Amino acid sequence: MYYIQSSAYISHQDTFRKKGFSKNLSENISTLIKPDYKEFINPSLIRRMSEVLRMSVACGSAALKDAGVITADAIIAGTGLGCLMDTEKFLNNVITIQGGMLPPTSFIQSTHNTIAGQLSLALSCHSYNMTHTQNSLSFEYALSDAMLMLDEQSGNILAGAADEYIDPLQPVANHFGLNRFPLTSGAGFFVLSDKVSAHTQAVLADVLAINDSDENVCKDFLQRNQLSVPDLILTDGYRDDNLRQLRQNFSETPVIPYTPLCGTYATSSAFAMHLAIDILQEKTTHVSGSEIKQHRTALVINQLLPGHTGLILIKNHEA
Amino acid sequence: MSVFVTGMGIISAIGNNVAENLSSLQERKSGIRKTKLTCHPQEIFAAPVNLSDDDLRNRFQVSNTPHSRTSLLGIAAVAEAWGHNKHLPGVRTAFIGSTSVGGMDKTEKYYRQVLEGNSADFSLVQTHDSGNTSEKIAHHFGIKGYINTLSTACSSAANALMLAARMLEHDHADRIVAGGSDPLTGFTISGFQSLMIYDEDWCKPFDENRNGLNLGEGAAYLVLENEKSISATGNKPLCLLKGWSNAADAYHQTASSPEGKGATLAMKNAIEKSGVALSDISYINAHGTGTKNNDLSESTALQNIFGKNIPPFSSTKAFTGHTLAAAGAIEAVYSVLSIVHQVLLPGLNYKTIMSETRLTPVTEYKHCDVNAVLSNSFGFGGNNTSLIFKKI
Repeated sequence: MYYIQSSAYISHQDTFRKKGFSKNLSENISTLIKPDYKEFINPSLIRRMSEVLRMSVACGSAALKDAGVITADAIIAGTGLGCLMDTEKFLNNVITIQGGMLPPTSFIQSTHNTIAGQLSLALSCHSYNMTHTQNSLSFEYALSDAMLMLDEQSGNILAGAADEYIDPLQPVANHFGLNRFPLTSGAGFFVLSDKVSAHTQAVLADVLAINDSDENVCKDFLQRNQLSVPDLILTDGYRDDNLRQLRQNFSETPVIPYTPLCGTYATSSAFAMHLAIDILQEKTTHVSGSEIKQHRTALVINQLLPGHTGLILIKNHEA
Repeated sequence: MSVFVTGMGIISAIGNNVAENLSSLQERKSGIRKTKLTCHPQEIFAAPVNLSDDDLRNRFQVSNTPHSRTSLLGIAAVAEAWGHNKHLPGVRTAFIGSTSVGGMDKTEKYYRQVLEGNSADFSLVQTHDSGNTSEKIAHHFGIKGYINTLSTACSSAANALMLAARMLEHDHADRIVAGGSDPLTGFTISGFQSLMIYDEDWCKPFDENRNGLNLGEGAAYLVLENEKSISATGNKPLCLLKGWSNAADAYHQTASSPEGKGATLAMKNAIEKSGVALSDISYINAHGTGTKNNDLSESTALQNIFGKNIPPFSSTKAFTGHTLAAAGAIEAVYSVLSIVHQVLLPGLNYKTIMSETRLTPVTEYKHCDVNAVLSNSFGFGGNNTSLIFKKI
C-alpha cells in the first residue's frame, strides 16, 4: 500500500494548506495564490528564485512538516517544461548580448532538475533525487517512480510536480490551439509512505501513464484494481467530446473537469490529485455543482494531450 | 532478476557507430577541434557530430515532421542498438530517454525570429519539450506505451539506465531501450562560458593544469532485457548491469562538495547493490569533465571508496567532449566495450599529476582482465549517479 501522508499545493485556487478548499473553489483563476514564502524559504535565497522554484521549495517543505517527517528518503519531481523563467531569461541574453560574459545565475537554474535539486539543498537531503519530464504525463511518471521506490525500500518519499507560466508561452499556445483555458502555473508535493501514520490522508491505489492509449484504457485500469466504477472522476475536461464520452461511460459518477479550475499547464493532474485528496476527506460535498455523497474512490483521468493518458486512483483512508 | 545489456548504439564526435568509436579510442583520436559552429559567435574547442540534420534524416529515413537534432541523434543511436530487434507479443518493451535541453537547438532559431519581430516558424518550437525528444525516437522504432524522459543535467542518461534496470528488476517491463542525447547549442556553450568553466584550449581531465570542459554532442542508447525477454528475442547478452545508485550532493546548485559527499554515496551504494567486491572493479570510467572542481571532488570521492587501491581510471570526455545528458549513456557504451574487449580506455591530454590527490589516470589503450566497470555521471543540482557493469 502507498499512503499519502500530506499534500501541499500552490495554484490559481486557494489550495495551499487550506483543508476543505474544495468547497470554496473560485471561478476566477486569473492569479496565482502564493503563500508568504519567507515562512518556508531562507529569505536571502527567495530573491534569486524563479516562481517555479519558490512554489516547489515551499510545497516540499510544507509537505514534510505536515507529514511529521524530518527528512525525505527520496525526492522525485515531474515537470513538463521545467524552469521556463530562467531558461527564457538566459536564452534571451544569449541571443541579444553579443560578446562579453553573461550572468550565469539563470543558466544554472535553467535545468529541469533545479526543482528537485533546490529541494535537496533546502532540506539537506542526500537521498535519491530524480526529475521526470514527459510533457503532460510528467507527474504520473514521477508517481510511478515513487511507488517503485516504495516497493524497493521502506520510507517517506517526497514526490510532486511543478510548472510555471511565462508570457512567451501564450503565442505558442494560441498557434497550437491550446488556449481554451488560461495558461497558468502550479506546483505541489506529496509525502508518500509504505506505512500508515496518524497523518495519513488517503491511499494512492494505482497510477498509470501511457503515451499511446486506446479507448479501453480507463476500463482496463479500473479492472486491474477490481473496481467497476469510481465514486468520483476528475478529468482535464479540455475537449468537450472527451468529457461527453466519459459522462456517458460513467453515467452514475460525478465527473468534474479540473482544467477550468486550475488552468492549463503540463502537470495539472497533480492539482487534481490534491483536489481529490481534499474531497475524499469530506463527508458530503459539492464541487463545481456536483453533489458528491459516497466518496471512497476518486479517479483522476488526464488526457490533456490526445493519445496520452495519465490515470491516478486515490482511495480514502478508511475505504 | 538479472539485467542484461544486449544491444548498444552510439553517435559522437569520434564516430557514427560503436565500431568507429572503439577505433578512435584505440587510436587516441579526439573528436574535439577548434571550430566555428553556426549556433555560437566565437571559434571554440568543441566536439560536433560529423552529420548534419539533413544527413541524419536521410540516413535513417526520418519522416518529414519537425524533429529536434536531439531526436535525430537519438534515432541514429537507437537504430544501431535496436538492430534486428522485433516487437514480439508478450515482450513488454519500454523507452526511457533523457536530455538536458530537449529541442533547444530549434528553439534558439524560433526565439531569434520572435526577438527580431519576424513572423516566427512555430514548427521550430514544437519540439522544445524534452518529452517530445523521446516520443519522436520511440515512435520511429514503433515503441509504444511506457515512453518516459529523465532530465537531471549531466547525469541524465545514467539515470535513464538506472530507472530501466529498476523497472526490469521489479518486472515492470521485459525489454527497455534507455539512454540519452544532447546536441551542441548556443545556450549550453554560452552557459558554461558564463560559469567560466569552458576551456579555451583542449580539456585536460585529471591534470593539475586542467582549466574546464569542452562541450560535445551525441547520443547513445542501450537495450536492456530480463531473462524472459532474452529467451524470446534470442539476443546475446554483452554483460550485466549489476549495480546502480543516485545520491544528492546537497551542497551547491552547480559546484560539487570538496569532500565529494554525493559522489561517494552514489559509488558506495552502487557497489553495494552490485555485490561486486572492490577488488573486482577493473576500470572506472570517471565523470572527469576537466573542471577544477569536478576532478578534485571526484578524485577525493574515489579515495573515500578505494583508499590507496584505486583501480585504473580515466575520463573519455577528452575524446567526445562533455555531451551533457548523453554522457552517461556514451560512457556506459564505453564501459561495456571495456568488458567485451577486455581493455582499459585511455584519457587524453594528461601531463601533470594533481597535487592534492596524486592520482594518475590511464593514458594508453591496453588489454587487461576486466571483470567489472564503474561508470560515474555527476550533474548540476548535485545529482550523482554510479553504474556497475559486470562480465557474465
